[in-house]
Amino acid sequence: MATTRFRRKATKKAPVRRRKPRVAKAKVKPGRRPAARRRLAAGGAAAQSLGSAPPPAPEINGAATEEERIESSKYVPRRAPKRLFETERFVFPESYGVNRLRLLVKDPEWLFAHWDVDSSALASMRKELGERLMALARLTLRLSDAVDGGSTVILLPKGARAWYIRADGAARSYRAELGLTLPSGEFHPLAASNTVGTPRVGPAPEGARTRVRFHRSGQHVTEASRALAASRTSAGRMADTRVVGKGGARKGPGGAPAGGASDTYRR
Amino acid sequence: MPAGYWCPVLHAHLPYVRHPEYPDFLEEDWFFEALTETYVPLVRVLDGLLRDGVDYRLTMTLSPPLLSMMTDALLVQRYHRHLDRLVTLAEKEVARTAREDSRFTDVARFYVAELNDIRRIFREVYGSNLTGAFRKHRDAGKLEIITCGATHGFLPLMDTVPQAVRAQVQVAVAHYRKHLDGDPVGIWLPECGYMPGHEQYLLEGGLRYSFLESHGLTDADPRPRHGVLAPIISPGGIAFFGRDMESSRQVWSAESGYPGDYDYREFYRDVGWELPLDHLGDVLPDRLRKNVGIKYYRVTGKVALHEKQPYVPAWAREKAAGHAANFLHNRRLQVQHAAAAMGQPPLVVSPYDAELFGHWWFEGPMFLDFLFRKMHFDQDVVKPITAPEFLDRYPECEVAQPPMSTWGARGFAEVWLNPANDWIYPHLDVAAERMVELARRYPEADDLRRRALNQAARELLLAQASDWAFIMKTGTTVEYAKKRTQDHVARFTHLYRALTGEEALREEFLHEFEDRDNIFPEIDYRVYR
Repeated sequence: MATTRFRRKATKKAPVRRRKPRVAKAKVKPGRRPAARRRLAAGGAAAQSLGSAPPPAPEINGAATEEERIESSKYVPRRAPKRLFETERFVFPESYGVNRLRLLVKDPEWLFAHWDVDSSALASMRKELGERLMALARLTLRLSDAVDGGSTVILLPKGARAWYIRADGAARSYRAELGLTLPSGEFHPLAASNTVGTPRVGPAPEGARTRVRFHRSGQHVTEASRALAASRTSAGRMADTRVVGKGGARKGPGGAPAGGASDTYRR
Repeated sequence: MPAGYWCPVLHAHLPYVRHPEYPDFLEEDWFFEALTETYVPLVRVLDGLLRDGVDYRLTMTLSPPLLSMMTDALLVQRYHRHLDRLVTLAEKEVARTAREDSRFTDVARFYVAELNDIRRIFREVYGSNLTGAFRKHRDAGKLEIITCGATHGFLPLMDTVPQAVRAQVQVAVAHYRKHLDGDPVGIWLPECGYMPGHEQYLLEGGLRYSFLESHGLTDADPRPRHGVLAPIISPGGIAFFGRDMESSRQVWSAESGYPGDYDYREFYRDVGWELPLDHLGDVLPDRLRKNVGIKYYRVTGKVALHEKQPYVPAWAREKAAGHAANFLHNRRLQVQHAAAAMGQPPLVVSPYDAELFGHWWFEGPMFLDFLFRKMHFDQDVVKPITAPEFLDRYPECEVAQPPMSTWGARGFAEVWLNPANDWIYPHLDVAAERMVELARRYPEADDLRRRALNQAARELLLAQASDWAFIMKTGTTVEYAKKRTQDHVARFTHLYRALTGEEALREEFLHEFEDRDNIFPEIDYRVYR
């Protein structure tokens, strides 16, 4: 069916357990092609026989219906168009060989972190700490409120390359660090993330009081930014809205400290 | 003076799908179907309104990929072939139904007339280039054409590489200038995906207004007094208009909206799945079944597909007229009620995907035709208007900061960031960073390198299309979406390695890439500096 952009009514779904995320996807070994779509059968055996006659049609059971005979033809590799660069041979890298950490905002309650770790950086660390400590070290995400402080520590399973992190639903700024945590609790950073802000939800407590006159030339732009800042200063409020208290670990149900892998949304 | 205004917005976009390496390609049908069922019928409606002196107003996005496809010689040629095949089939259907089941002969004749008219408008009236039609209505002052991201990239998730956001906007603006002779003032943020701070990129592109999902306004800080019924200006300087949910639900809702009416054409009963392959002939070039756009049944009710009843075009037309009257009646009540409370004329903004009208809801263009005519001839309480016209009349706007928001399910980024598609972002991020690196490494470049750099920019832009993540989430043609992502990242990566000396820069590869992914021929890679 053609892509339809008719949007069905959104329905809430309960979060489901998902498998651990993989960074590398769509690995296609040379010589094999995805089976599902005939239009994608441009690699494989046919590609290896470019310039020669197409392979013969398979033997079909004489009792097959007309439809079955025709449908079975899709499993005969099509003669692939001549191509010089075969994208099917491209494998998404497991790593790009740099220490990096990026945060994305999914919604008010969830962030998505993805990272890469330079193997030579790990080798240096191994040399510094020794094999035993490295074996006991845990890859860790430290998420902190970029404005008010406070942090959440997430001990990651071996091999994880991405993680969904629960935010607390308020409008906040977050940043994160990726590193190794030793059994002593000592943290060795590997990468720091960008800063992101989760959106506010629900109407703001104060009504708008400032108006500016729109100009197609854009001359209202500076006025708009100054006007809002002035109205907030006169109201004695900071620009960012903080609904929850600052500092300390997040509280889970019943007031118990929250944080760590058990409290995060994981795949 | 009217009590209030109505601002209809049709967002017309398809991903850039063009496969010269195959004689025909299934996913190119998305474009051909949309032309046949949505874009040409909409042009026909607008032409009729203009001819009859109806003072309509409509805002339309023509996304850069869509504009590119509309002006691509190969795709236009293939569309001619597609249309000719359909007309031939429709004519065969008149004979077949007369012979086998005369209940459907009238509908078959209807399709012959309809498809011939579509073909006449496309070929003879507009010379196979529909952009001329949209320019005509824009120049007549009736149609406001806005731009969109260059490849409909989902901007909130590109924030880690600001140059990528900037490039999506800059390339789109340049493309608009080339194809539509003029500068865009408004932009449709892909998926209404807004991130605070992105105003700077819009302003740099000369853009002044955009549209948000309703909670982009209702949850703005401080709280706008009039909700979505008046635009706001963000501290970043862009005027934002908010979607009105009441008018949206009447059209969008699959359950309670107009398109589900029992007399409208049933989407899921298509002759492409039902008639003998030999009879369908060239319409199925590989003899694999697909929708072809000739459908004989109406929705009928909540019944199984095999219990659907024959489509009666005259009944459907009457329903479209009735629904237009109902929609107008509701807008009149809405603006009258709101005006009393607001003390100024309210503005009801109703954005929709353009393809809803005609492709999904076959009678949609007819509905719009009736609606604009009734709005013009039958009343004066609510008038259609465009966003710039409204700002010209009522330029005083409240200042408020919208939150990050989208019009996707649940209002944020979930559709484009979830376990089905999150794997793409590390690769897109790296590709974007590498493109910035390349642009900075080569402030100037010789001919071959410049071609490679420009092509790298094209591959990155095509990989960033939000359509692929959307398709991976909705599960329609997932393998195609994954392959497109793989193709573009693979080509980009090869070019990056060649330009950084890890591999040889092979002109034959470059030429192949340029031939395949030929969007934005005028692109300048330095937009990524």
